[in-house]
Amino acid sequence: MDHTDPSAVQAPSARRRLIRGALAAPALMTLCSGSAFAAASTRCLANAQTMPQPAPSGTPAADTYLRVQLYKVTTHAVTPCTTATTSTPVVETAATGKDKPKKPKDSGSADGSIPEPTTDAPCIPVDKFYVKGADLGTYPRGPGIPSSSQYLEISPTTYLTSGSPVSPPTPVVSEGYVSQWAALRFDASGTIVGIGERTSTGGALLSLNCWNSAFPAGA
Amino acid sequence: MEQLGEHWVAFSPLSGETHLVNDTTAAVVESVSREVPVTLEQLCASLAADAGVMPIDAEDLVRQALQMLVAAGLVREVPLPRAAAA
Repeated sequence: MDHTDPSAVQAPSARRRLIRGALAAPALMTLCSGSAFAAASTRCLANAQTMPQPAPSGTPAADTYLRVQLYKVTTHAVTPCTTATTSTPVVETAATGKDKPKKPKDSGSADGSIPEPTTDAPCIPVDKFYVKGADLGTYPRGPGIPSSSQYLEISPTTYLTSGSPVSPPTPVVSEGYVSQWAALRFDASGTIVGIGERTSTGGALLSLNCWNSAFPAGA
Repeated sequence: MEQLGEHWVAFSPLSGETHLVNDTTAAVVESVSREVPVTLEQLCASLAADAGVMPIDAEDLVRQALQMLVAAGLVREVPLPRAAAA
């Protein structure tokens, strides 16, 4: 069995490597200071806070800013509701003012039971646009920014957010991404402080280049 | 000093900088001692023996390496002890 004595393992030596080759011209290069390099990289975050915003923070076109795609969710204005293809509800309220439903006039059940009351509100589809917290990746989030399981409503025309982050709406008639994006706004530390148009929360748009410099992948 | 691929990296606490050096320069750093100063002649003899060349052939290279190392703060020049100077 092979056995290697750990004490016999020697550290690599430049002198031993000289034996393998001729004595070459000496070379010494000074590497960049890591902290100085890091400070220079994050400077764009700080500079962005005071620079004029060069582009609208909501856009249907491609740009180089950190942004998130809008998510359209269609629900019904009132639930439960009745769609046009469904027969009109067969419920009426007693003339005496009592709310107890009566047996339908023209379509009673075979066993004579009274159907459950339903609303006759028509089903009106309502579209709302959201930013999904799950689409914000691992960026640090400030107050009012949705968590990965929350949505934040945003106007697709003004790109202003409204309200606070909410749970995904239900029930959903249809949902899906649309070809519109809202830019993310960051503070000087790289935390998302706003989405879409600037409000009182401030923050600055960041280009992908700036973000990648300040927060290289895997760092 | 740590090996980094084909090269070596050395940190100078004096300047706070990190340097990348090749085998020749790294061998000079290894050959000098923190406790006992060595002369240029001793350095040349030692490294020439390692490389299998004549000391006179190594002198220019060792001198260049020392200049760079001193400038980078990795090696310090000290006055010769009285016994050696005599």
